[in-house]
Amino acid sequence: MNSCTIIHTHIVVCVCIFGLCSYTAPRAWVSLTMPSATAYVRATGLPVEWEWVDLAQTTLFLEGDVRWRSRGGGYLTDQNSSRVVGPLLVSVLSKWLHDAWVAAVVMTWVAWCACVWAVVALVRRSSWIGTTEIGRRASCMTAIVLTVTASGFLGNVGDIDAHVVGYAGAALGILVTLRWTGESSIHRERPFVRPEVVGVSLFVLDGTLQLGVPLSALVCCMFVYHMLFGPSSGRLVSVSKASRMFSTFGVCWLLWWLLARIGSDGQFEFHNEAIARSREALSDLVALGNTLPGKVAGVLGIALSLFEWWMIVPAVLGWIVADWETRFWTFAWFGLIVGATVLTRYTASTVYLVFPSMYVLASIGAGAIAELGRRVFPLAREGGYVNVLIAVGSAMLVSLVPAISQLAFIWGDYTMPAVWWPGP
Amino acid sequence: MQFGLARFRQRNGSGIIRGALAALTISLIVAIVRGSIGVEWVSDGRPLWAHFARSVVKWSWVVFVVIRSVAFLRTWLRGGTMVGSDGWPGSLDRIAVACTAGLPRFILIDPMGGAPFALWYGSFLLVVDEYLQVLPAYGPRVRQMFWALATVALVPWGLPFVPTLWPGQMT
Repeated sequence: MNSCTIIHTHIVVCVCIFGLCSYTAPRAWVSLTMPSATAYVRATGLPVEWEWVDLAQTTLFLEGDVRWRSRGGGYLTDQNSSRVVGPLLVSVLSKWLHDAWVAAVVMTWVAWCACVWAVVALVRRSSWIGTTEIGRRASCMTAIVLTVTASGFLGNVGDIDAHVVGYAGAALGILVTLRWTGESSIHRERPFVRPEVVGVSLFVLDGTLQLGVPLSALVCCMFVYHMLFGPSSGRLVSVSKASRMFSTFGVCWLLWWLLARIGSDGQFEFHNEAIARSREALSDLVALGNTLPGKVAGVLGIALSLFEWWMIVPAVLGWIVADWETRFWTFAWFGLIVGATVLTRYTASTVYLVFPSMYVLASIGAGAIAELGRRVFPLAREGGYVNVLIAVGSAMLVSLVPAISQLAFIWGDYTMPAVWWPGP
Repeated sequence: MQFGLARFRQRNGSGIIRGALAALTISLIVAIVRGSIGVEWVSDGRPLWAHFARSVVKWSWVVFVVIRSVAFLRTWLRGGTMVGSDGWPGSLDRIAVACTAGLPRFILIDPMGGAPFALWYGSFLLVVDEYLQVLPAYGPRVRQMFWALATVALVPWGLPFVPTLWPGQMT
């Protein structure tokens, strides 16, 4: 069995084990919310957080079902018209399964597997000082455990919610961006996919959790990075390819904007819409004076509270030893999400989108610790079991402690949802 | 190097533009006729532009799906292939054929003829199809299976009265 097969087997096994663990939890995180704000799944008696109605509105709108008007006084909310990919999957799956809740659970698991795969792929394309096979194994194992126990997914297991697709979309979007812009792919005659495909990808990813703008900004950041520091530094980015990508994204987005307005007879309501929110935030900043540093500090505080210090420390170590491209994109993505949150929604569920940066850096940190162990123990310089033990030990050190902490909701605490919804 | 319409025609085959124009013309005629005899533009308080726009969108998409699916079927039955530059039907044709399973719902109950759904479903399928092509295992047979599955997946969705259980009433 090659290492690729081992890694993919790990992904599937870990998602199954931790997913099942979360189902056996006596206190699902939704019970932290107000009981009056939950609905109960008829077949199982499980509580479902009240925001299932938002996903349902989009699903019914896509199905041409007039019941979409039951939410929001007959208005299609801007947020729900933007988060389409999750409802699309629920719509198609629920017709086979006859139950929206079962379809949402299947969607969560599909998104979760895709996210684990994407985070591992992001780790595999990184390199760091003195990378060896042992370090790579340790970092991949860490990435798998961290993402499989990711609070953003565990917190939403058994719920009907679009956030899980958004979290998977963030990791997949970063991977697409790096592969397309990385290693001067933009300059090649035949990059790994056509620019139009990247444009449609951005459109689809925008439909997960309104990620189009931060991902477009990341594309621009990576263009600048490769122009200045890449193998073809000093060369201008291919304007033709970049414009084809952005214009495809723009055309798809405008087409949807038009169809959503025609389909709702213009009955549209601004609710968590990025431009309106940003306008509000900017006018608040002007009205209240220079409160920007305070707001940024507040969002940073929420972001760091979602990851315990024993994940932050290896992440810092990972940032120090990682290659420049990884340092750049992790920092850029973290900054973009914090910036977007300052300008839009001030909630833990939004700031949590920084997780690909944190998980990739912490995994690289685990790889670096494994390299260090290999150098410290002379026996490990020979191949064999000691090497494997070091890899597993490093991965456990970095990932299992936060993993246990994140699973602590089974015995009464759960970091991300606890910050997200403090409860009664 | 070709740009604009010529490039689009080269990638997607020449029939697609004729099909789109035919669909738009038919949808305009249908919208005007239905409006004239009072079938659709009933006075229910909604703006007139919304009725007209919905009618045009609905029948454009439905007619386009029918025209291109029939063209695909005829070509296929004669042993030929309706191809773009990459040896496969163009993107819009692939989406149209995959959406044929949704036609009963598009026609019977959806006031937009499934156009919003098709935009997302089609984009999703195209993106997945493109990235799968990076894999060596994704040969022509697997690709055919992918598009066939995408079409079959819509069969129960296209049946207008397959119920879905939701946790409660929306408020």
